[in-house]
Amino acid sequence: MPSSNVIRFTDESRTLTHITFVPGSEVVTRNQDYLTPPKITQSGRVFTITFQADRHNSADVAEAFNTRSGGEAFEYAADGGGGTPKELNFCFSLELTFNTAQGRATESLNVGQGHYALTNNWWLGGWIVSSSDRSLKVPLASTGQTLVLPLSGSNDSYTFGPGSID
Amino acid sequence: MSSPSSNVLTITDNSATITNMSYVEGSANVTPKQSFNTPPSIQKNGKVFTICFECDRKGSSDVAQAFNSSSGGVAHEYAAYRVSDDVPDKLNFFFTLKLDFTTAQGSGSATLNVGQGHTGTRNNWWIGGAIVDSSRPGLVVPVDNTAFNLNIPVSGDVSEYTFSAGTISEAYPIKHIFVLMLENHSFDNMLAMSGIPGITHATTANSNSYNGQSYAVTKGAPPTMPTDPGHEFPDVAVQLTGQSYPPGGPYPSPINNSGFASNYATTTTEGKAPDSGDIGKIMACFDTPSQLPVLYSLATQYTVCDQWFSSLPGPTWPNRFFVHGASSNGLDHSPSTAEMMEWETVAGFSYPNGSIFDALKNDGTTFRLYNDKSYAAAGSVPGWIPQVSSLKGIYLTQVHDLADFAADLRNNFKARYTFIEPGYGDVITGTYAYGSSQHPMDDVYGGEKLIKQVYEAIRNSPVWEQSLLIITYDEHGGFYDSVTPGEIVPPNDGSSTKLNQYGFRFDRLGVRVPAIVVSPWVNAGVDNTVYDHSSVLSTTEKLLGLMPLTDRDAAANDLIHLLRSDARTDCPTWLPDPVEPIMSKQAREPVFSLQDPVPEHGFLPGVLHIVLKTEIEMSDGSAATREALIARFKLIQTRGQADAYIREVYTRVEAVRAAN
Repeated sequence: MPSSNVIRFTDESRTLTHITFVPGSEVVTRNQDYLTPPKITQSGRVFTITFQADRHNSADVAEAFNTRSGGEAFEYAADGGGGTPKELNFCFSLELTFNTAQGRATESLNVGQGHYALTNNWWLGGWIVSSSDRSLKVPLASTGQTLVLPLSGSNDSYTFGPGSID
Repeated sequence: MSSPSSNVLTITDNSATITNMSYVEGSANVTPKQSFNTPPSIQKNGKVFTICFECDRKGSSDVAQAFNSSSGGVAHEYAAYRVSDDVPDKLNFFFTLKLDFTTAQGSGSATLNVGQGHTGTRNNWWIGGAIVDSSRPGLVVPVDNTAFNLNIPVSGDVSEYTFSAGTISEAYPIKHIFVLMLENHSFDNMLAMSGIPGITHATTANSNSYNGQSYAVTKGAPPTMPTDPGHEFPDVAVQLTGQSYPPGGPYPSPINNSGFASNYATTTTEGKAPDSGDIGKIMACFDTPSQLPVLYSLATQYTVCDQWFSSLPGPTWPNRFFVHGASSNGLDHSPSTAEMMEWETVAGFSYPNGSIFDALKNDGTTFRLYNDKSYAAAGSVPGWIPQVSSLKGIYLTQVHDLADFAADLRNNFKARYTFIEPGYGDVITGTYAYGSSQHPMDDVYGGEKLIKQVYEAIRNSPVWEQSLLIITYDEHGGFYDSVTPGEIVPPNDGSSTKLNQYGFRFDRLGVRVPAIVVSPWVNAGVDNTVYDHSSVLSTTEKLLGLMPLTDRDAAANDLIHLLRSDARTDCPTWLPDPVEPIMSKQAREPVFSLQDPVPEHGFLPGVLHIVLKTEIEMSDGSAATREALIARFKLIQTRGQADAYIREVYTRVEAVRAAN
């Protein structure tokens, strides 16, 4: 059985309603065992994503993550972040559905696991990720407005703070 | 003459829903003899509303009282900056604003009280009113003609508030959900002879046969059973099909409810088999109006569900786990000592996706647990241990005494979800005597008294108008029922195979049990919708805005469709008294002696392991202490030793509760 890798999202904004895995989006270092899809559960405002995969970092996975995410401006790691990852153990894509008083939105978010100091740290990436002000910026198609959620976290846990409609 | 002092409150509307903010004429309430000018000025710059009220400052309790009265009490008042007060003792002034909101789901208007007090060295601002929910904290604003609620998180500081991006939810009148789960009776056993029109029920034409003799359904049930009917997983398979469950399944067919009498006559799962003259008692049904006047009163004045099934065809523990987690993590039997030793000495029973209590905690929503310990006698302390405290994250020390329930409800009751367990009576000698669970070995008096107590406490409290009470039974206890349980969606939550003794797939409902839905928002009548205990969760999740825990509660029918558009005003404030018990104390012969060994399965070992879990939780947490506690626990061999151990630990539990 491959190793268990867990990332948690705590949605203090109460706007995140659903997370699904994007089938076939997983990229894992060659010759490492893994199981798809990752298990995604929700308990209250806490989403837990568990991906069974053996860990061995590689530049290939990081490159796939960086390409898919759009570069430094769209990538963020709460622990050991800054710039872009040079190597990752694996990455995959999620679809996040948000529901606000102004409308709904579903956007993709890439997550990848690397290694920093003594821990395995998780990266977030994608065009809704804004590394400069550490936030998610989710466009609401129906109104042209944007839901902005402050990001904070640790190596394997992220919090989406109460947001604003800009 | 100088002008009054300037007092400024800013509200940053990050929700982008407030289209207008105005002062409500004549609403300013100021400490006497203080100068002030009305109206306050309200200016908007981008997202920021700046409200300036010119008023000299002096705190008074009169102003605070008026604010508290106008706002609706602690549930509807919030100060982002305060020391410890739930409501202000004194305020300098307050006034009322009218706010207009626009969302994608419609518009709405509401009033908001804003008041200034004083704490430490700061003049802090309070907000209050019907739309303020202090528990989150946030605003809950009716929009679209009250069909929906706009929910806005609120945060802030001394004089600066931020309204964050909001969400829309359906608007329900229910704010407080209560669940009372009793023990071991089938629907027909309790309600077949109720005479309630519209229910699907057994008649005297229904029968089972055993050994060439027919046993028909009869009217009038014994107050206690002579022996405890079997209701373990293999027992229920025989009861429902007349056949044994093959190892690994599938469930035998046809399901024709033909084996209740034969199983009762022969099984020794719960102790000895009955005398031959007592076999027919398993088919007997209470004369509900005369024997169960409390249950009958509720069943005729509220909604009785005649298709509510236990969650699996098995015993107490897995069924009670289902009401807390829409799963039993694969458990299909009463857990063994070895199984419980494994989970209770770690952290408690856990679910792959967590329990409803985990979800509520993770949502920041308050819940509360109660258990009944109204009768104190020999053997009764072990009966005070609620099964819910076997769960990971639930502590026996946090379970409240039901004696405090009515007072708690009258005192700013905040819990949105409340689960109530009965007292289980004398579980040491196996009589279950003087409990309130309505266990078949006990009479029904204690449970009737408990139902009356719970109902009247809620009915005569401030939360009644926002309440929904579900009364149901964990499983059928081996008693006959005439309705065939259908198929059901399995939890599909990655449950453990380790706890799955029989290879059951959780795709079949258990036997039908009584369920009554009590609320001013439901009609008197019969609901024929199919439910199981996961319906408690699906209902709670919809009312409180939580996601399902497993596929079972995701698919389970909820009770929302029963809610009326207006609250009833004809709900009784008091219920009839229960029928006094017929059995005398002397007539209750112990089933077991204090020298008898603690069994490998069943309620007593379950209670024992909860107490061990509690003792570990109350310890210093070190590995050495844990090992020592387990070693001491393993010395318990007899029922008498179990009783002494539980009493000793329980004394310390009470001390912890008192200290809290």
